[in-house]
Amino acid sequence: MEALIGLFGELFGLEGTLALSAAYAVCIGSILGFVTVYSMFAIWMERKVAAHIQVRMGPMVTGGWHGWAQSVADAVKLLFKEDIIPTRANAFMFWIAPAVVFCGVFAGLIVVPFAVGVQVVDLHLGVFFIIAIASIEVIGVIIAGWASNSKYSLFGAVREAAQVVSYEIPTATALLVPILVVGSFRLNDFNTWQAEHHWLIFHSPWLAMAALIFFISSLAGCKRAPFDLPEAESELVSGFHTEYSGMRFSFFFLEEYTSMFVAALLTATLWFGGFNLPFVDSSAWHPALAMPIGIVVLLAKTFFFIFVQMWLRWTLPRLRVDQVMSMGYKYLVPWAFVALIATAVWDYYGWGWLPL
Amino acid sequence: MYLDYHAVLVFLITGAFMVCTPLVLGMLFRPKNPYKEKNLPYECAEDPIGDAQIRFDMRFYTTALIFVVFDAEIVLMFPWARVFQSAPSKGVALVAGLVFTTIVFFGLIYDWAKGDLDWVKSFQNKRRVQD
Repeated sequence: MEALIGLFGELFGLEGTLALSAAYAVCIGSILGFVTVYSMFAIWMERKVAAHIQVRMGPMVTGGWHGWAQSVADAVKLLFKEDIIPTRANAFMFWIAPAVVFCGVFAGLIVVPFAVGVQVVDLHLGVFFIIAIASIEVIGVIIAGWASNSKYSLFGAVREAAQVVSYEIPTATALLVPILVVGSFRLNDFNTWQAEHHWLIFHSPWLAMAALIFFISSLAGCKRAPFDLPEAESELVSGFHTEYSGMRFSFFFLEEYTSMFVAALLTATLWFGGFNLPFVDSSAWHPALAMPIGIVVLLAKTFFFIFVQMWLRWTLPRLRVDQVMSMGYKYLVPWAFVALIATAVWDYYGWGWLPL
Repeated sequence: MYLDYHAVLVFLITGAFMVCTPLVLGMLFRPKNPYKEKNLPYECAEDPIGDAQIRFDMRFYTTALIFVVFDAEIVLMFPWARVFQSAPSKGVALVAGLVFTTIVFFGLIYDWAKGDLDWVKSFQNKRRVQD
């Protein structure tokens, strides 16, 4: 954003608050546009992946080429849908729940480094900030479930509370492992470190284990199958958003796909080199070249992990509630601790792993 | 540096605004035709019996308690992981981390042995002892 403020100063002679507001307008506009376009694309992609895994074609008609406009049509349709608020629901809480759910994940996107210098703000608490702000979403879901005053919603919300809250522990512990190696919370420092050394996934077997633990527990954090108990279509109708309709309902989906993006992006940035290409040193490149390539590389990595998330969704059956809880506390938490301590020991003795 | 955090506030407000805008805009287009049956909570076409805002199973309470303990512990581990590389003596940092994690780990094992991590707490063994 500093770069933008400087640019506005040079081009239009803007200064102070005016330049800051202009930079904010550009940042907000681009992040909003990105979230909207990304989630439409991700929903279309999810349908296509699901269809092809089940040997179907998926949407093929809308828009011509492979039904690319399906999500756009859906968004327009949702805008025209009646907004039903049940009489028994607490209207105000019911009303603010989608906003609470969406705000947290949306604000989490500001620390994402898309390429060199393409970042809204480089907070010095980057990683910590993302997990802190992403957990606001749980509060929104509990508000939604409770305010709906429907039994399905209540079950969904309580399950979500128990599940997301439990899986936050292995997520955070697994995130500590790369933080311990790099010694920083800034997401940009991970990119520089991996450009100078090697991708963190190859640093030691414990880093790879932490990546796996993070990926599994982030699936649970995004309520994706096999951990989609809060939504569980076959038992809870659609869980905490049973009573929601139209635009309000779509915000829960927007949030789900955005948090999938954040989880996949954290995996790509912390373990898989971020916007760095493998085997290519891009540090000396001109920004005009490094910037678009960085964005493309990072998005390619991120979309690969999003694809894996979708692949798992359409491959694995849903777990039971008690299995979800024992998976979190009895397997992921102890192994995340083992990975953390083993990495510290590994680092203390300065052991290497692969000749990279 | 700390002023960077005003961006968080701005984006939180924008997020809320972005949720509200389509909802308000939609008011111009969308139909509004509520009736009694439509506004009932959905329960597969049955009339709902009673309220959903009831007291709920306390099993979730244990989970929440365990979470709070572990989350506080994770928060304490964050600064440790951050400064580990730049610690004046890595050995001391390693031992401190080991001691702390071992204590927490014993806590986890205690919870596990007590059966607090099980979703359905089993009383079978205790009953056998009483018989």
